[in-house]
Amino acid sequence: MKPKIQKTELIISLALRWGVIFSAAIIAFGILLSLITSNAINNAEIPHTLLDFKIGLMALHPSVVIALGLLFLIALPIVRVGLTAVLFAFEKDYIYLFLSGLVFSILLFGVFFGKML
Amino acid sequence: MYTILFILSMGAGVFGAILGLGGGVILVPILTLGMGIDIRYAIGASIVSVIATSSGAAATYVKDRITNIRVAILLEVATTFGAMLGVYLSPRFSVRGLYFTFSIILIYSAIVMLRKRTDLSDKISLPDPLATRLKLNSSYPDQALGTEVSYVVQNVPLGFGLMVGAGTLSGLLGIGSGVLKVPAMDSAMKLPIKVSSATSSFMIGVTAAASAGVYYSRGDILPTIAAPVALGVLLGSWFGTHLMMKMNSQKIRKIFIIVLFLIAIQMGFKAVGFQVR
Repeated sequence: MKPKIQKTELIISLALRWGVIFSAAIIAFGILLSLITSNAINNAEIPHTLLDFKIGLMALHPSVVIALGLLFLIALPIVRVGLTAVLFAFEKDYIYLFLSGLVFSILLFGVFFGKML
Repeated sequence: MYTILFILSMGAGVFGAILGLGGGVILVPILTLGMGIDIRYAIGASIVSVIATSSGAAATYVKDRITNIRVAILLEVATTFGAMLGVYLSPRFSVRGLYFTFSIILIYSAIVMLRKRTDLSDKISLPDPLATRLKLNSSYPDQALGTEVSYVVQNVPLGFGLMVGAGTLSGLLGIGSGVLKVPAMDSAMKLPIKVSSATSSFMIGVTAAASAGVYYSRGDILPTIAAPVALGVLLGSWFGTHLMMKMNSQKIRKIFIIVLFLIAIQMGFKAVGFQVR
């Protein structure tokens, strides 16, 4: 007897898979840009604000494109925790909704107030 | 240089995915000692590597039901809380003392893991009532054995407590969450090694992502280094997961125990002030 794959697990693995492919594609595109254009990857151009991203992406700066891909990759685990909470809510599994919501809150606390600790 | 970084990161990704580690413990010494990259940027790259290994490996392990998602979420509460506690406490501790403590804990974990290898009574033992209430007991398909392996989870409160400790230590030092998570799940909660490793893979990305924002805004994550590392690790972790599922459990345990001793030595050197990272 082989238990069937749970819906929750399937959705999480699909989200992770496509998240990873998406981030990798953006990073690879950035590297490709630096090879086919005269713009080298420049560490001094790391974007920090939304405006930096807007300007850099409009100009197709390789470093800004790569930074965007890296940020997507970094955000993926946090998004995954949020998604898990939503899926447990659908399953009406309230203990795990509470636990994943708790992890999500601790993470957001770390992202926004981590520097103050 | 990109090609070398890419290939080295692929190796780190393979190892990391098999053992449930971030690959940082392998990558950081190579980047600093081997390639002369500043420690700041090496740590930035290693954070990216941990997140890439985690998401890359988890995509496969979750689909193939090796990861125990409920165990992961329960323990993530402990590790993220511990990590915050660690960050808060870090100015109050001597770094050398912490490396020394870390080293001792790793050696102890390795010895405990070595001892369990001969103990086969685990299979018939009863689950922790808390594990039953939290629906933690499960099974996974073992490709090496060709069967479905059922397991029960024991010592839930102890495992939770150890994870708070593991999270605190990694928050204090900014490293090594996987090397402490796997032994805690393996030795205390009695999970099969493949489940421990896959569940650790799943969890390490969360801890790393929490601190990655700080590293990024400080400018420690350089596109020139992080881009080839991220791509290499992602590809490596994909190979690693497929390799791990076909591997014999005892072999994974053996490799893990050896790696534990090696990292313990590395941390021991740091404790006495000798820079080996």
